[in-house]
Amino acid sequence: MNYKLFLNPFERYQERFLLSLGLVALCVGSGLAYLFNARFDGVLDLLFVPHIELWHPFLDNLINIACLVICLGALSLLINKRTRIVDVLAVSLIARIPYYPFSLFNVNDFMVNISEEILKDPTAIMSGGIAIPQLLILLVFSGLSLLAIGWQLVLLYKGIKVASNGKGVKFTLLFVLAIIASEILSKLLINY
Amino acid sequence: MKKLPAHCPSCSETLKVSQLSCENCETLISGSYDLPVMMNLPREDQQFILDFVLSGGSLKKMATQLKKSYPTVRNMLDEVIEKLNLLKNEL
Repeated sequence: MNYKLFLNPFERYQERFLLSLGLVALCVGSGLAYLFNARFDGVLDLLFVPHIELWHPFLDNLINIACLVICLGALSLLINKRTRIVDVLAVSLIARIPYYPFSLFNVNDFMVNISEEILKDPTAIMSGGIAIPQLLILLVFSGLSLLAIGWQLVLLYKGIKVASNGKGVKFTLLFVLAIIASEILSKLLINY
Repeated sequence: MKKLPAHCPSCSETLKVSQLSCENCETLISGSYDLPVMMNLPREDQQFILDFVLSGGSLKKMATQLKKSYPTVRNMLDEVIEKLNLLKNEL
């Protein structure tokens, strides 16, 4: 399989397929988040909590996607007035996919418990208060989550580039600003 | 199919048409004629324009034919338009 499709499916696939895939992933991802007590409390964030309502992850994801569409849509229209918002929506939906499987790390509230242990005694990691297998899982989680953030940003960047035909340093700078704006906006709205 | 060169292989200057001939009666016409703007585009861009016209100007049809997304095909068209405008201003 062509690995480029994982980094930039937007050059190849039509918006109808991307929207359908993104919506199915949103439902599955939100369902998993409900089952494993995960909240997506920002465009670039994932948080594990002791208790969650069914609508929480759905609302989180809808707010995150709306913030991405607003900020990246404004950027795209600034760059190219002929940009279609449906393409920006497809990019925003697809770019969320790398986050969804991370809920699985909280099986049996594993991440919540380990977070509580570390919060109770921040030196526990260094002093051997946390078992090696738990530490290893924590390390794997950290590494994979960094990769997921990178993957999400690559998907957003390449997707918006295709949607708006953006080029050059000006586009890259505006893209960074739009991502920061969407992160701040989503944090404010979700924690409101 | 032979590729019609648009630029001089020696100095890269835009070439002109200096001779046309009739294969039937072998009449020769000499002169100095500019190549049409479109002929100065790369071959793949000329093919893109041809396909675009033949698909009735539908980017959606083009996207299906080329197995690319709609915005990708629209970006390809924008780039061809940009190149044509540059060439038009040069000539």
